Amino acid sequence: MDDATMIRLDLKKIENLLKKVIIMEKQNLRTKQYNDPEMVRRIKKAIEEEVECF
Amino acid sequence: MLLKTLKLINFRQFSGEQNIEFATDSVKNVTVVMGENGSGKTTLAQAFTWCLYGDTDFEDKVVANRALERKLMPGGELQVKVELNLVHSGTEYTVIREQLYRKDLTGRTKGQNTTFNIAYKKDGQQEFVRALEVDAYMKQILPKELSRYFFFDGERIGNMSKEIKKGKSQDFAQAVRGLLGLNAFISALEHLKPTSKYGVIGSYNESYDSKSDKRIAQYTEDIQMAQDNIERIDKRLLEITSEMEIAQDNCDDLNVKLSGMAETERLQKDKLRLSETLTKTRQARASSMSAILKQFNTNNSSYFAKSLIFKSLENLSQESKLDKGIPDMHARTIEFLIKRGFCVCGTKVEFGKETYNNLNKALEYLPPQSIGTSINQFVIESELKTKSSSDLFESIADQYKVLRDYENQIEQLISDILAIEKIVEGKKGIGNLQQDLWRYEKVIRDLTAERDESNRKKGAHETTRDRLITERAELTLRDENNKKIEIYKAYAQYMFDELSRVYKKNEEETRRKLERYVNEIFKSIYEGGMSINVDERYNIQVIVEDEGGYSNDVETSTAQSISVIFAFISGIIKMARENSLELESETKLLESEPYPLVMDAPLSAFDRRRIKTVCDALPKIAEQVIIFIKDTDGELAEENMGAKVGKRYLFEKKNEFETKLVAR
Amino acid sequence: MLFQKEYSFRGSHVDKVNKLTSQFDSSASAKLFNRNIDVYILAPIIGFLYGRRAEIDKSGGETTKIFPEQLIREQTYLKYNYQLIMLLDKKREPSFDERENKAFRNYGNNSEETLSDELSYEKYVLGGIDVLYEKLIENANSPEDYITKLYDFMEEFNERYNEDISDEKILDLCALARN
Repeated sequence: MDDATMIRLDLKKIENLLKKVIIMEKQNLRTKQYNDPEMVRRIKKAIEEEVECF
Repeated sequence: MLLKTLKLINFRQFSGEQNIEFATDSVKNVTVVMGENGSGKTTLAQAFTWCLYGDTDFEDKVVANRALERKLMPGGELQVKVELNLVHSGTEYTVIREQLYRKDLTGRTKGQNTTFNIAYKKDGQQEFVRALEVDAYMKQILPKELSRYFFFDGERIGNMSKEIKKGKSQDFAQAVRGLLGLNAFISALEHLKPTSKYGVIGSYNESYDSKSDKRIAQYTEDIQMAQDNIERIDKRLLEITSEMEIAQDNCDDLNVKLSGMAETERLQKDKLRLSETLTKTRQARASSMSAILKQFNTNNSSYFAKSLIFKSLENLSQESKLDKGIPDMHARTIEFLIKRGFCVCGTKVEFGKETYNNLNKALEYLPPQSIGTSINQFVIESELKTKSSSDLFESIADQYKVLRDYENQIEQLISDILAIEKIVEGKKGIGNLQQDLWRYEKVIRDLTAERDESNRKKGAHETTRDRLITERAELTLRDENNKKIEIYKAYAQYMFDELSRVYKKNEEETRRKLERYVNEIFKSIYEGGMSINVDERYNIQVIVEDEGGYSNDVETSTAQSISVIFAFISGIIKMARENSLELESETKLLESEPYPLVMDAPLSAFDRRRIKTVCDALPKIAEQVIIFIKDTDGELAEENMGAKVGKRYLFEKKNEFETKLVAR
Repeated sequence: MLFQKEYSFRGSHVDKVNKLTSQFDSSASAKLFNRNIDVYILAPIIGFLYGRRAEIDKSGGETTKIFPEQLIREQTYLKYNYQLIMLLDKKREPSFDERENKAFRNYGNNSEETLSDELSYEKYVLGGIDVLYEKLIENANSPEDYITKLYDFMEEFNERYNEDISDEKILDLCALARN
């Protein structure tokens, strides 16, 4: 699906994203601050932000 | 999770309010609760289960104190409550379960549904978890599937060992993984999951702008349909797996029984063979008997008369009776001489004179009056009898020996047959096992076929889905907005794949590490060339380490079972503890939580030497140990764990319905 | 005269003779004595050898019979056995000459003396039946028991009477007696 001719993925960005998401998840496991839909929204937000940023 | 306090109100024999505070100190982390059998150890252990999950292992599901319940007036109410205070993930929780019992006007007491609440402290304020979320919270704190390994009942060890060895649910593996610090990965994967509409990737799929091209919506719908099919098949595949496992278990059971049956069958055949031999031997004995009797019946009198014949002949041969007969002379000769009036020698034969008398006497010795002939006859007969007689005794004795042999054989055969019957008797009543086995084997065949077919269909759906996704991507990339979504989704997908990979690797490592720990602990408490294997589903196998490298899953003995369970639990706890120490490390993405070990009468199953090992190992492995013990075991525990014991309690049993918990 | 008329066992001897001649194992047609007459032939010898005499038991009306034809057919055996006993019964007659007369001269002459001899013989018959019954039947409950008793009896008899007598010795004596 990630056809290289159309979409280019930045591995650095992915690495950052992974770290960010795991930390988010870890914190939430402890605090139970956000429920599942909220977490999905937060992850999406993080992805969009990371992709859009320079 | 560490347990701080437990409050019981009218829970079974604990009438009124009773409190127990557990040792949470990092050094003195052991709480010992001592009491005689029947004083309430098991009840106290069950109080945890009831509080956390609303269920007990008691046959009688009524948890209200019986004495108080009896005293209730019609319309009266009795509140039962168990409150458990614990710390989990740095948050202090109070888990409360209550049940109201009401006596109706007919005097029957009925328990209402239990109520379950979890309270936690947030910024010093006590807050209650919303009713809809309490179960999810509980699952986070300690899933029920795992609880039994931390609330450990020494007396139900047999079942546990079977459970731990196989047939555990996916939930269990999931729970273990969570416990081992892979929770963040699991949550992240769950949130990213492409197969759910509500996950990150799924929601991107839903957010395409279909205004630019109507077909996008159609594609999305088709893709979703394919995805739904795949999920339905996946669900069925899981069911198939567990159905197959159940059928396989049944087959295994039946095969064990059938091999018992095969044994029985073999014995039955032996018995039949022995019975046939018995019949033949009996026939042989009968004919041998007939032979003896036939011999006895034939001419027996000459045999029995032998001594008499001998004596008679002896006597007869000594007498010279036979000599008195004049050879070749007949009575008629004498009669002629008397009639003629003079003898051969010329002497006159006159009636009454000597010559007359002598001649008459001679008649006695001549035929027919002579007994000489009779005697001769008798001797000839004796001779004939002797010549024709066999030694009756000798032949009967020979025959009798044969007969005795037969009788011994018969006796042996009968005792063999009886022995077989005894064994077979013990194996009766297993019924139509073979049919059952065939039935289960057919179930497995059918399920296998269904699984293969399902996998084929799943593959087809996946191909369709992937094709549709590609086609949709072509469309969406033409639109700027949709292209963005496509890119986000690509990132999300990549993240998901990457996380899955890392998770798998981590999980594998974690599992190997668990296996190593479990083995270390197992070998320290159970000697004898055996090791434990933990497979992908966290099933446990005990393997014999043979010099030849030959290995086999062996039937476990009770002591071995206990050791396996103990090693498994200890291993999990040890890892959980280790992971929790690395909690703050940024590079290590694992997160975990210490767990207590609550054990009901665990020592009674071990021998003295092993008790020491266990007592040594326990407080080192678990963050917290709470142990319910009978007096005799208690002394041993104190002896071996004394320095670690932080709190001591004693059950004071007043009667069947009332036990008090006293601090010592 | 003996061995001419139908012979009847009476009283307690009926049962004993019946048992001696009955089949004791259903699987084998096994009988100790095939016929009443077989008992009758052997019994006097056993009675005499064991010194057992028995009176005719006149109690009870039941009888078991031996028919005259059978007696006549077995005449030789019967007569021979009678002669043996007459010849050797020293207790009744110490003089050998007299015993010889009883055995050979007087046989079947219906004299008073002979009738008394015959009666004595009959007593041995009945005594012998008693012995045979004790030795072969009494207290036996199974075919095995019967055979065991039979063997024991044979063994005992062999030891007591026959062990030292060989057929050769008898044949030598025959030759001697015939002269």
